[in-house]
Amino acid sequence: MTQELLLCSTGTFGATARSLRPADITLASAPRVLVVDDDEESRRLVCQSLRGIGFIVDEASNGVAALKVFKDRRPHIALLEVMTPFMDGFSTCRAMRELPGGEDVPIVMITNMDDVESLQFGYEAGATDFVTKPINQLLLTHRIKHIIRSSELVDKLRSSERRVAHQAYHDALTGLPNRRALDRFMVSSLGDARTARGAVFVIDLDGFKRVNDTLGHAAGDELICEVGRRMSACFDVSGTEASSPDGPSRRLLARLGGDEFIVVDTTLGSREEAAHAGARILDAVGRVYELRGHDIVITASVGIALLGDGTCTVDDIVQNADAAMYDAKENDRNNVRFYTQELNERTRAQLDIENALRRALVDDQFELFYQPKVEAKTGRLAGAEALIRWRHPQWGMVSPVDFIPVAEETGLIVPIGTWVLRQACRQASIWQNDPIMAGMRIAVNVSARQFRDPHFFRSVQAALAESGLDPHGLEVEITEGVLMSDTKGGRDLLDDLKTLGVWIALDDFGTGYSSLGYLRRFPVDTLKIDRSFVRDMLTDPSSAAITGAIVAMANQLHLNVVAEGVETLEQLERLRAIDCAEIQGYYFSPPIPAESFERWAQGRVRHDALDAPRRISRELPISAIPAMTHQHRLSLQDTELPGNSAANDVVLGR
Amino acid sequence: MAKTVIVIDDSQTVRRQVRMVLADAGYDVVEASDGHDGAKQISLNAHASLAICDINMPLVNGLDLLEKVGAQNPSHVPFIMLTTEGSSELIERAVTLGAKGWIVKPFKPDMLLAAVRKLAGAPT
Repeated sequence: MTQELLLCSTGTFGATARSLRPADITLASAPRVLVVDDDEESRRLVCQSLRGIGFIVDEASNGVAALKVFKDRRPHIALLEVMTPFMDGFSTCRAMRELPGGEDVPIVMITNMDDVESLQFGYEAGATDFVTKPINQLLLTHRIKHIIRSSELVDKLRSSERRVAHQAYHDALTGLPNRRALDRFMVSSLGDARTARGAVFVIDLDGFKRVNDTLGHAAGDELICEVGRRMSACFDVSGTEASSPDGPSRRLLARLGGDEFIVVDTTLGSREEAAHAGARILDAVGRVYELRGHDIVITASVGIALLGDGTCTVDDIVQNADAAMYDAKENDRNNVRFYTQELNERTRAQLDIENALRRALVDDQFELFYQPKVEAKTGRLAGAEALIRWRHPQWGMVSPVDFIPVAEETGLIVPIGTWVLRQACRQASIWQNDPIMAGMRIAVNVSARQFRDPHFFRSVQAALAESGLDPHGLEVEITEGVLMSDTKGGRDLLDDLKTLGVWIALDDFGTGYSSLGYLRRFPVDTLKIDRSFVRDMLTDPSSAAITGAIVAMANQLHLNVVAEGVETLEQLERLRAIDCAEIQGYYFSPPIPAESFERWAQGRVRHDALDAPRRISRELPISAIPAMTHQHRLSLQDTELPGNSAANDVVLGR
Repeated sequence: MAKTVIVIDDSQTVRRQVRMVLADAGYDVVEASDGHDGAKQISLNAHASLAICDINMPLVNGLDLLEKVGAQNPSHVPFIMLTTEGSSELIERAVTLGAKGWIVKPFKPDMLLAAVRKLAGAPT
């Protein structure tokens, strides 16, 4: 197609020979033309001209043969003589338009009828253009080339239009319909909320991120595709049905992104049928996957919302199914949950909190409170745990119990955690220069999600650098769960923190797996005995035994040990008796703002000063360790949380 | 005596249109309104020069009628199928059954007349 071909004109008017470039036409292969004429001589001339410019030419002498050739060869263009035996050109043109691929192909009528009525009739029959006899072959070839080029452009536009339309409504990875397709389907298939029937399933894989993290994103993508295939089979959603959501289909499977899928099934009439379908999804998704030489098992959490039972309208059914899915996640995963009204209220409240949390970061609505840790033996201030508080302009103090889980779920815990780190380091740095508080450590809680965040270490470095805090003045508190979920990365991160000089504490020790192996594998400095043991140690012998064992073990391993939630003198005395190193709890002080903390520390120094001779001469008797004074308690009242219970001190990241 | 053309179509409008074109040209026109009636008119007008026959009609469709008439009498009146159908399967079946022409509706009067003249000859 690139070389120049010489056209020897055989035109009726004897056009001169000239060179044409067939490359002007950009079709992938040589253009194919069908010439239909019962007059052999006339047909021969036309065929010869077209072959001369590089066309592949098929011939037919009548309409019936033309249709057959058209079906077999699928030409790019057809030239039809109007007056043909058995079936005239107009009839052939109409029939051709009905054939597969015939709808868009250019059809040029060859005629000696040039009256307006004939042309009009021909266009109505589907003709693209007319060539009147006698034919000028040179002009004919130009005309045909021009028509092919135009038709090619139209084809390109059409196919790119189709591609764009497909892309707009389909997920690139799985080819399944996407969220827009879902919206369209909901409108076209569910229609009137009062009469709509059916169920919506939101399906989210459990722990999918671990597949991505351990086997890589390509494997994760493969898994998602296979899950999509299994669910298609599960709901008998064939590819074509799924890809034309505006068709008569009564079901739709769509991928909402990530590892979340949705099924809308308008054929399900009852709760039982929906529950059955939900169980089928769990079965299908839960079968073993073979992925790059690994056998992978993954489960799903499924939320179902039903139309027609009065709890859901079409407008919010997807949101409701989503809430039910989260409910399934919270209940051990790998199960199916139905939407209930109560879930909706919870979801709305969470959404409100999420939006307000974003605002809170921007508007600086968070504060840090500090709860002292006191050396059990000496009564000296050893450190403080920084605990986040949220003062919302309208809601007042919001309990961490209410907002930390939302922050975890939305990932906002990462920026919030960074803020806590910076703020705590800044405060600790100021206190390091205060003779009364110098040498104390500030502990900051780090959630699993923060811990996995690739920028976490850098944010610790940055917080230390910008505050000028000695790294030994900072302690990060993590739970065992954090170590459990990400052993290799976790160990590296802890080593890095350790190298930096930061202290590491294991929080809530005794409540989780409490694998003693952790203590050897990970560079831990401090164990924090969970408050539940401290609470029960005076009444429950096993709590007392566990507390004693943790303290003894920590002392043997030369680890620091902190008892949390100490509220009474009796608890303090018992802990001191078993050699627990540090005490934290309401007995000394609830978490308090920085200024109050400073006053509290100064008050203790005055108290210590009074007791100084005794303290120097012998160990301080337990009863002499100053608890929070009445005056302190009064000064705290305006800042304490509603309820003022230890339970409100859910720390950041739990 | 003018030549006779039988028009078999369940649409009265189409029958009228065809009659107008052919009568103006000098042909005698006999009408039948379904396949069954068509068979009857063919047997009553054995001398007819041509039948113009629809396909989709009540009782007996045009191709079945063609088959029936052809089987009974190998030298039957020639058939032109006048139909909205354009499927090549149907057209091929018509060719096999001996149809002499196929016109896809709507028809152009001069094209129909040309086909009739070719098959039936001049009106007289």
